[in-house]
Amino acid sequence: MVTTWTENSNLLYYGFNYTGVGFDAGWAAWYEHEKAQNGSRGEDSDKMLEFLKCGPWDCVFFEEAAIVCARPVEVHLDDNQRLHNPHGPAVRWRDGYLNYFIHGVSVPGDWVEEPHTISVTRVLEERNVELRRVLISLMGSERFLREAGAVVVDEWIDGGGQKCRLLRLEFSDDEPYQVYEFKDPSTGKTGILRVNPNVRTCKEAVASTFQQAVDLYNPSVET
Amino acid sequence: MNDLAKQISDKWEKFALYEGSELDPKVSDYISFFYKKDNRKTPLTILTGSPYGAQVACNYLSNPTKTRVLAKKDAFIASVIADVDRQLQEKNVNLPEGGL
Repeated sequence: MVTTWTENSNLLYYGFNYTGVGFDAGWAAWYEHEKAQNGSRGEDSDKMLEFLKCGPWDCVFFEEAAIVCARPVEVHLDDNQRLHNPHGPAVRWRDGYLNYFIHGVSVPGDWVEEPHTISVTRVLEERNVELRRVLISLMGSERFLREAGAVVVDEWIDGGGQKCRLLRLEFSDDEPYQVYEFKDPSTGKTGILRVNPNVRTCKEAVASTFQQAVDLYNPSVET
Repeated sequence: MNDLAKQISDKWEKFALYEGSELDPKVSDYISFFYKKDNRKTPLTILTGSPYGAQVACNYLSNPTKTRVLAKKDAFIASVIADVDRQLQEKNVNLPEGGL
C-alpha cells in the first residue's frame, strides 16, 4: 500500500480548489438543465461547463502552474451512497493510488486486504469508536467474540429445538457489544445477530429482531 | 425533479464516478481562459492520476530537490515525478532547482 499524504509528514499539503467534477458535477447538471430550458447564462458559465466535460476531478491552481487530477477508475458505494468495499479498494485511481472505505469510514488498506491479521488486541486498543466497529465487522463478529472472551448472558432452546445464546462484551467508552447466537436448522450453521444491548434474555433478543416486545412475541410455529 | 433534470443529473453522476479516468487535453485551454479572465498569464498545466498524485506533483514543482530525495524511498512518488518530468519535457519546460 502506498503512503498517503496525510501519513507522509515529509510532504506538504496543498489545498485543492474544488474545481472539477468531484465537486461541481451537481452544478454542471443544474447548469446544463438551465441552459436547455432557458438558454445560456454567458460565456463564463458555458466555458466552465465545457471544462468540466473534459473530466477533471479537481485542481490545484498556482500562479505559474495548474495541477489537474483525473477522475477515479473505479468507485464502490454502499446502498446509502457512501464509499464502501469490504473486499478491496473503494476507490482506484489511474496512477495506482487506492482508497479504502467501509460504509464511508476511511480505513488502512491492510485492514481490508488482510482481515485475518486483525487481532482482538488491535480492536480493543483502537480508541476511535467508529474505527473499532469497522475492525469488528472486518474481523468477523463470531471470531471477535470468541477470541475476546465474551460473557454468556443467557441460554435457551428455541422453538426449533436449537440451543441459542446471548453473548455480551463490555466496553468502557462505548455501548456493550451484544449478539444473539443461534443455529440455522436448515443449514446447521451458527449465525449471530447484533442486538440491542438493553435486552437481557435470549427471548427478548429474538423478539427485538422482529421489533416486538417480549410479552407479545410468542410464535406458534418456527421453521 | 422533472425527467430531463433527472436524466442530466444521472448522466453527470455516471460521468464523474463510473466512466473511466480519461482527461481531455483541451482542459488546458479552458484553464488558460480562466487565468486570462483574471488577468494572469497562461499557466503550465500538469495532469495527474489521483489526488495524492496531484499533491506529489505540487510538492515536486515547489521543491524538486526535497521531493527527489523522498522519491528514493517511495516508488509512488518516483513514478509521479517521472510522469511530471515527461510532461515538462513535452512542453520544453525546465524545472528550476528552486522550483517554480
